Amino acid sequence: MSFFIQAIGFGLVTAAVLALAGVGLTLQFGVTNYANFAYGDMMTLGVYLTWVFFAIAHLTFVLALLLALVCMAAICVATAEVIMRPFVLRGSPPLILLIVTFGVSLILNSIILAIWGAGSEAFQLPGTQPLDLGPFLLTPLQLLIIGTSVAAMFVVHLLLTRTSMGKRMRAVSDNRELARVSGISPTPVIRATWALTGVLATLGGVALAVDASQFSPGLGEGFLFAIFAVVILGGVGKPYGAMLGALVVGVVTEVIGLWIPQYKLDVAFVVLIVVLLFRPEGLIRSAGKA
Amino acid sequence: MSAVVALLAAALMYVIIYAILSIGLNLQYGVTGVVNFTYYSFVAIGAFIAGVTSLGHPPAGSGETYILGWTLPFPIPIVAAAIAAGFFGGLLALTAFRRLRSDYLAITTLCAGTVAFDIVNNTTGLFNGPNGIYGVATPLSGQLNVPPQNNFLIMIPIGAVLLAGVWWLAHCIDLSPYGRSLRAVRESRDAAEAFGKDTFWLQLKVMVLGCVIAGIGGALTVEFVGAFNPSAFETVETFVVFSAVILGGPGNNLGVVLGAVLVQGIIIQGSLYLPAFANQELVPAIRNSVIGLLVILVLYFRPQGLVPETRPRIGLMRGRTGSGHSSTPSESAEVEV
Repeated sequence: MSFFIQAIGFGLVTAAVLALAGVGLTLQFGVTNYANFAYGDMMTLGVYLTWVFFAIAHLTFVLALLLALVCMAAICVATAEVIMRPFVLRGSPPLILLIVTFGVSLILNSIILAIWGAGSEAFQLPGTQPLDLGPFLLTPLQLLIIGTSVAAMFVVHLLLTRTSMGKRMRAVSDNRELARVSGISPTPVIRATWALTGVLATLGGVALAVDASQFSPGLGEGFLFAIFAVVILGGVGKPYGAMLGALVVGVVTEVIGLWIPQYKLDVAFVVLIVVLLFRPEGLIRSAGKA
Repeated sequence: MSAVVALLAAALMYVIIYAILSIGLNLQYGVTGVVNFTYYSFVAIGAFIAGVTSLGHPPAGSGETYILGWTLPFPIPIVAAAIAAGFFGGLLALTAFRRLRSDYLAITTLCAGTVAFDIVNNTTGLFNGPNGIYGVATPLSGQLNVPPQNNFLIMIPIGAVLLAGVWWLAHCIDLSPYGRSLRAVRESRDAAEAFGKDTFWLQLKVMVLGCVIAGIGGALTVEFVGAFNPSAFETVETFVVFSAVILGGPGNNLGVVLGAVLVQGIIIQGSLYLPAFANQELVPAIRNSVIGLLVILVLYFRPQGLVPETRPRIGLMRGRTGSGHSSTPSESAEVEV
């Protein structure tokens, strides 16, 4: 029984990582209306940038992370402007946009491999000794991941509900044409979304790398399908759905992982298939995109 | 002299395999518009099945473990590979084509590929885990007395015959009513449904067919190289086959074979002779970025590819309006638009 409760504790950590990454992906998917297969590599690039600022430039971890967030926001906006926007302006079908993001994924991954090689790196942070917290057994770093994720989710919530840009994002995500005739220009909204996506991808990636205690160029790509499971479970374009989806996928994968540890992330795929077959609009039933 | 011939022959063999793979993917993506982002997983299934149905039981004390361990004579392993790949392709299609938008379908196939990789990599009893299978003999090499380093003498004729067969099959589909139905699904699934086409079955069949062809390509790969392991079927491999189809011309068999020559024969085989740098990943990374960039540029500047798809139905319509039979000038003007 105690193993079971401990697994739920680890599930909360995985859910925290998935929520960070999933909200970033679902916001972008909703606003731009195409899936982004380069998201995993954007996460990985964010991790490597943080690592360069931290381990090579010897900045403090928080400063290194902040710098990486700014860089990744800029890189994501630039990628969207230079590569994706011409296709969108021409009215390319989603199929073509998907393949373009697949190409971006290959290019980003190649850049990472060319600069940093294929080996594993680690952040070497203190705080890896587990603490006994009632039924849970978590390290201070894992608690930090959960805290960061909850704080980030709160900020995203404030952004989407209290700021003008956040409200415009929701409007464009719900129905771009309706938003346009209401006087919302989609271009700045799409740019802001990509910047936010870059920030959340980096936070998710760094949380994943810290939780796994090491990382390699395949970090994000190997995790991407679990993030897609979260996004589709929550309903595309619905950040609160993604948070709920992250909680479900995180806890389910860790608990089932008690019996089949080497396949625990693959459980997310089963969740994805079940959702797609029986409830393609996601957990929260409303007029969605599916 | 012989070394140069062997290198060129190996390059030719890879081009033949890629041409077969491109024709299979073209049936799915180019003709029908089905985005199968885990096409290479079916190549892997073909390679593993052809391996374990011809290798025999693992030698005692080698520590290798894999299923079956049969020693079936040529060409049964290739047939088994094709059937296995087609079976799993059908299985994926059954779950994925039920009611998915094209982008959800692409996500599902991508995820299925990651999971397939995980399962093969982590289950050592299946195909020997991360080490994969090795020591697969070239078919007929014993009977024909050909040394392993010259196995292209056997594999190139086998590959050429299979390529011709696959091309002929794809060509027949192109000209058949079935092929026109597939194109209708690509252009508009709703319109095809409205004309009474069962788009689910059309897509399922083309998924199986394309994966059968992938399985054949996988079987040829393992029989030529002699080994196959999970690291050989990461997502990037699928993208490389996609790049051959997109550069060559989706929907056109000649185009995608030309794409295979360009991507496999020139870019990939050519990059093998670039000098290595301190960072071993540098040359493959540059090569992959070039492929990714080329695909994006071609999709923007020449979406029809090098050899555009020929559209027989436009010719038919022109012929009909040209004869003047039962068409008013205003109708034929509409057709011209």
